[in-house]
Formats: sequence, C-alpha cells, structure tokens
Amino acid sequence: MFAQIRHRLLWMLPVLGVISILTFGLQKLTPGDPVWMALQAEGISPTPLNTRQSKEAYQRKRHDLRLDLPLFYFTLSHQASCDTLFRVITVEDRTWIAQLLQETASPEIILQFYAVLLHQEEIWEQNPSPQSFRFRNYCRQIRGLSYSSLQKISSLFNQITNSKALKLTDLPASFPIWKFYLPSLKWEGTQNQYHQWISRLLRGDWGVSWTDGRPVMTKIPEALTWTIGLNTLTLLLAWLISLPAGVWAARHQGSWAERTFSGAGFLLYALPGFWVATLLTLTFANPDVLLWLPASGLHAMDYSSDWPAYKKIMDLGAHLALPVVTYTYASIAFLSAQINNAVHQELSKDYIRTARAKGLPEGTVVWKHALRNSSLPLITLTGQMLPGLISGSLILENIFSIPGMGQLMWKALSEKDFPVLVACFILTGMLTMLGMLLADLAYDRADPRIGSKEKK
Amino acid sequence: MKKGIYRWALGWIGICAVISILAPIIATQTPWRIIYNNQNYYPLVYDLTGWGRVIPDASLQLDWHQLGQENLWMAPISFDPTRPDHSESETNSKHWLGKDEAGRDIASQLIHGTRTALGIGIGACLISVFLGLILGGLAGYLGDRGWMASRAQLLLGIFGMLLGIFYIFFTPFLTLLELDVPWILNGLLSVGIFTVFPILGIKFANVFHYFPFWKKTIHIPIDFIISRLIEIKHAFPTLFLVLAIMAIIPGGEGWLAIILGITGWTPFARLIRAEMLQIKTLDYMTAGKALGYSPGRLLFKHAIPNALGPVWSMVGFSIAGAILAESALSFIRDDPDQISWGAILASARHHPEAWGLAVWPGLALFFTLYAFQLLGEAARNKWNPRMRNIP
Repeated sequence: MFAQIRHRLLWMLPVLGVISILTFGLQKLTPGDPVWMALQAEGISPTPLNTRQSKEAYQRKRHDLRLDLPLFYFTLSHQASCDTLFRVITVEDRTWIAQLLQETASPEIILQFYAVLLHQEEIWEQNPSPQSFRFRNYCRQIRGLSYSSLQKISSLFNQITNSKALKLTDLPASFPIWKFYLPSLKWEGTQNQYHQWISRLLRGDWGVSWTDGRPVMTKIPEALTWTIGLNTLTLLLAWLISLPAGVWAARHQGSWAERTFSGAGFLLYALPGFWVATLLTLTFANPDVLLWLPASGLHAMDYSSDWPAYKKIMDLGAHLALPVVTYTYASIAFLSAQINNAVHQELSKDYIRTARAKGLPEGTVVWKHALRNSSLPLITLTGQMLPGLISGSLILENIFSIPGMGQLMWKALSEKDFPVLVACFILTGMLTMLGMLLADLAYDRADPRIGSKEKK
Repeated sequence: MKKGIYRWALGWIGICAVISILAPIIATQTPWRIIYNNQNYYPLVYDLTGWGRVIPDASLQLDWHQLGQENLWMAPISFDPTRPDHSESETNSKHWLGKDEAGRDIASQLIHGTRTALGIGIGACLISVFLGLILGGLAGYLGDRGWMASRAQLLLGIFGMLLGIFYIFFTPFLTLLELDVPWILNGLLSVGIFTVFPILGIKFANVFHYFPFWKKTIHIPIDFIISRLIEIKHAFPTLFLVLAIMAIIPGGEGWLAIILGITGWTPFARLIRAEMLQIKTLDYMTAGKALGYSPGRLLFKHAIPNALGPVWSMVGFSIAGAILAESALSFIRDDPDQISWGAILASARHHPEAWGLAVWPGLALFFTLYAFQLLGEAARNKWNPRMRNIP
C-alpha cells in the first residue's frame, strides 16, 4: 500500500515537471512585455523609455525577473543566430534586431550597428539641447525599419545627425544565407530563465499578482476554499440524492417509472450548465419576472460583519442556492445512471440469488451485498468527475461571480497576470492528480484483486 | 419508443447539417435575384461563385431595399449575422426572432451559429479520433516491450527528430514557403520533413552497429510513454487548457477545432488501447505474425479495423463534448464579433428583458447536444451493451 502510494507520488513529479514546462512555454509565447506588467503592478508608471531613470528601473526589473537570461537549458538555433539577443533590453528593440538578423544573417554587423546607435543616443541624452532631442526622436523613428530601407536612409541620416552610427552603406550586398540551414545546439547551464523560475517556485516564492500587487500565495487559498467547498458540497449532495434514486431505479429496471426516470436523467445531463444558469438567473433573479434570489456574488449589498449568525447563513444560502442547483443537477443525472447500471448488473449475479434464497431481507441484499460490490467502479468515477467539475467551475463561477479558482484564472488569463495564472495551472493540475490518486487508492483498498495485479 | 427517439435525433442532426451547409444562402442580406433596369441579376450567386454579371450600381450594395419590394427576391432570413440593421421600419423585411443590442438579426445568427457548432464539433471529433487511433493503437499493440531499437538507432532517431524540428521551426525556409503556398501543402511539407530526418537517422544507425555497445538493443516503452501523456492531459481541466492555448494562437474557428481535437483524443486512445490489448491475443493476429506480415500491416490492416467498432460508440459523445466546449468558450469570452450560439446566450445576460436571446440559442444547443448523446447511446448499445443507460 505505502509502496504504491510512494510510487504514484514519485510519478507525479515528472508529470508536474512537464506541466511546469508547458506553463512556462505558454508564458513565453503570449504576446506582451512582462517587465512592463510587473512595473505597472508596483505603481511605477511605465512611460516610454526615454528617461534615464525609467530605463534603469526597467533594466533592474528585467534582471530581477531573470529575463536577461537564455530561455532554457539548451538553445537550438541556426548558425546565423545571435546568442546575446536576449540581452537587448526592450521588446521593441529585440524584435527589430531579430528582424534585421533574419534579413542579413550577419549578427556581428547588426550588433555593432546597434551598439553604436545606443552609444550615440547616450551621448545625446547627456547633452540635452533642442538638436539632440530631435536626433533622439529620429533614432526612435528608425526602429522597426527593414534593413534595405535602413540602407536607403543611412547616408541622409548620417548627414543630418553628423554621426558615423549608421555606416550600413559599406556592407556586402550578399549575405551568408546558408548559415540559416546549419543547426547549432548550445548548452546554457543553470543560468537560464526556466531554471531560475522553477527554483524560485520550489523555494515557495510565487511572486505578486501583476494586477493588484498582492502576493499570489494569499490570493490562491481564498479562491481555492470557495472552489473546493462548492465542489465538495456538489459531490456530497449528488451522492446523497443519486444513491437512493439510483438503487431504486436498479431495483425497478424495466418498469415505466424507471424508464421515465432514466430518460429524464439523460435529458438533464444534456442540458448545458451555463444555459441553465442563465435561465435560472433570468427567472428567479430578474426584477421583471421573479426576484426571489440574488443574481450573483456572495453577500448582500448591505452585508456587514456584525450581522447575527443566522442572518449571515440565510444570506449566504440565498446567494448559493442557484449556483448549487446548477452545479449539482448534471452530477445527479450522471451518478444516478451509473449507480443504476452498476447495481443492476450486480443484482443479476448468483451470490445475490443465494442471499435471497437464504431468506435475507431484500433491503440487506440490495444495500449490503449488491451496493458494496458495485461501489468499486463508482469510486473511480467520482475521481474522474474532478477535472470536469473544475472545468465547470470556470464557467459557473464567472456567471455567478463567485470568487473561486475559475474566476481567478479567467481574470488572470484575460489580464495576462502570469504569476497568478502559473499558480492556478500548477495547483489545479496537482489537485486533480491527487484527487484521482485518492480515488484509485480507495479502489485498490476496496478491491484486493487490483492491488495484487499491480504487484505482478 | 426508444427507436422513435433515435430517429428523431438523427432527423434533428440531419436538419442541422442541411442548415449549416445552406447557411450562407438562407440567411443573408444579399438578394437571390433582383430586377434592375428591367434586367435580371443574381447578386448572391455572383457573391458566392463569381458567375454572372456585376450589378452596375455600387450604391445598391449598401441598401438593396431602395429598389423596391417588387424587384427583390430576398432569402427567407434577409440579414447577415454580423451586419447591424438600424432601420426602425419593419416593412421591408422582418426580424423573425428580433435583434440583439447591436441591431443584428438573431435568426440569422442562430443559422450561422449552427454552422459554427457542427463544424467545430465534427472537425474536433475527427482530429481526436485520428490521434486516438494512432496513439492508442501503438500503445496497446506495441506495449512496453513490443518495440526494440539499438542504442545507435535510438540516439540517431532522436537526433533526426531534433533536426526535423530545427528545419521546421528555426529556419526561414518554411516561412518563405508560407508566402505563396497554400497552408495544406505547407503542413504536409512540415510533416514530411519531420518524418524524413528520424528515418534517415535510423537507417544511418546501421553504420554504428559495427560497435557492440551501439548495437545493443533496448525496449522502448511506448505504452508507458503514451499512458503518461494521457495522465498529463488529464491533470489539466480541458477548458482551462483550451482557453490558455487560445490566448497565444490567433482566434478563428479552424484553430478552435484543432485545439479541441488535440485536447480531446485521450478517451479514444484509452478505448483503443484497451481494445488492442485484447485483439493482440486473438488467433488471427498470431496467424498473421506466423505468416510473416509486417507489424505495420498487422496494426493498420488487421488490428485497428477490428477495434473501430467501439470507437463509434464514443463519436456521438465526443462531438457533443466539443460543441458544448465551443459554446461554453464563446459564452464566457462574450466576444460580440463571434457568431455562435454561446455568444448569443452571453448577450442574453446583459438584457434580462429579451428572453428570446436566452431561449432560442439555448434550445438549439440543448437539442443538438441531446441528439448527439442519443446517437452515442444508440451506438454504444450496439457495440457495448454492458454500458447501457449511462449518459
């Protein structure tokens, strides 16, 4: 038993590793500049990077986030690639230089050009005058130009600014394009973004949210409480209702009442949850139809913490009534059909006939013998329902504005709040796996045959 | 009674399929036929196919109704799903189910939403079945000890794979091709490059077999790898995964179908794997092996066709799942530019007084999901009678 748990837990590590790589890749592929987002969260206004101060703040933040490092343990690229591109500070410049490299396949020349450009800008910045201001403006405008257009304007630009920065005219006309087709694999060691990021997470430093500056580790537990609480409530309610219903249906399988019940369950299961939620709010929380219940949120407008306990509970109950109904109805339909099927299969077996022949009361036969034996697959099913329930939370929490993981994740996703998103992803992944592990363990415990098969 | 309801489901899906194929014809602002200066024109035919004559007066495109009612033959639902109609008069043509807040016709959106739903549902399911068949088939058929390779083959195969990845993603080669080659050719070329290099690597490995160290064979645990892959996929709640991928990839219905297909292959793979474990032990497979058939022929000509039956029992549920995911996603994204049942439902939340916004798309969605699930149930009763009555 314990060996098996250890085995399974150990196997979760590589799975979590893959999840972390996926999350990291997602973070890197999403457009947007993380440094700006982080600066914004700290309240530093990310004005265009033209003052020395904002540039330095930007650079410092970039170093703090370890974004001035290569991406991964190794870099697969072509021979004409530039292995110091990630050191270029701003995103705009980085894409511009990358585009120039793509055109020319000559990193040395382009980087030299860029260095001279930066140097020249610095000189102008240190000697402020109307003229130097104008020159710096020119330099901002040439960013984004392609190599051929740079070449065209370079002599003019040199004349205007009286500098030797843009000596692109004496470049060769043909470039070593063949370099694009020779691969290069470079080992980067631990000084890479992924390693730094994941070791920071492992140390427990999950960062602060980019939208409100609160630490991620205070935001997540609040949200997690709601999601776990509501889903546990859902599962409990679903089991409480569908167990007697399913057993009853199994005992009367074939009768018209059972057929109607099963058909209705099937129909209920096909109802999309978000439609039911919309209809329920439009009916019971609509000033034009019936205003029995609040439409969304968790507390009334005039909620105060010194209300008596019964009033608080009433308030919460009223707010949770519609969500709980929408959360549970599909689970009830699903579970009762499963129980119906499992118990019915069991009831047709020989040992049940023996038990009945012994003269055991029908209640004991069904509830003690048949149900216990048919509970095995039902345990696994409960585990397998978890990912679906959590996916459902994403939609339903947003409809009813319940501050759970679903809403948190949706907000983080639409605001590109990556520290929160990363935590949400890894935690939901971990919780789902743990839930399924628990279900599997319960299954093994209930059925000794499975365990022995594993050992072999 | 049961037979009747299955027939109803088939009928409903048939109607939906016809509607989604005909959507650009039956719900459009462009008239079928007009009479202009005593001559016949067919603007819709011209728009869709390019056949026929151009209408000389371009200003007509803005408002066909200036021609007068008697010169116009409009579609039954004479509105585009995206173009708002701000005219107050109801004389020209009627909004059968009303308008949404932007003035767009709901009936037209419903019709075009059918197209979105069915297209994404069936497209995603096809991709899932394809992936599930290949991966599940390999996992079940080869198992953990079914595929052996020498150390040299393994090393050079991985090396070839890296080279393939390099030539697809890291050279401007294919981005150059993207300019004038249709995407399907580009995709085929990418897949070709990706397979050619590992094969070359494995062939080249024979040279190294001179050294005993490199010749030593090892088992490649395909089953183990694919099972772990399924486990990883299961750890992510699907909707989160899809939403996250949608954040990177530019939108569009084709992409959504591909993403839903890629996230939905695991149930098929599990089913095929279990089926394959059983088929592997059957006599005709042993006979095939004894006759010296190649593993590829045994797998693709004998084993997989026999495992296909149970796959049918899951297709209905898979399509229903993809349609539900699509509508849920467009519901939560609440993007007014999307034409989908979920998007109409989302606009119902802002307008509690307009009950039609909530009822019609919801009913359409519900009936479609129900019909596909019923068909799935029917197929399962046929192929797998043990699992009766389970949604």
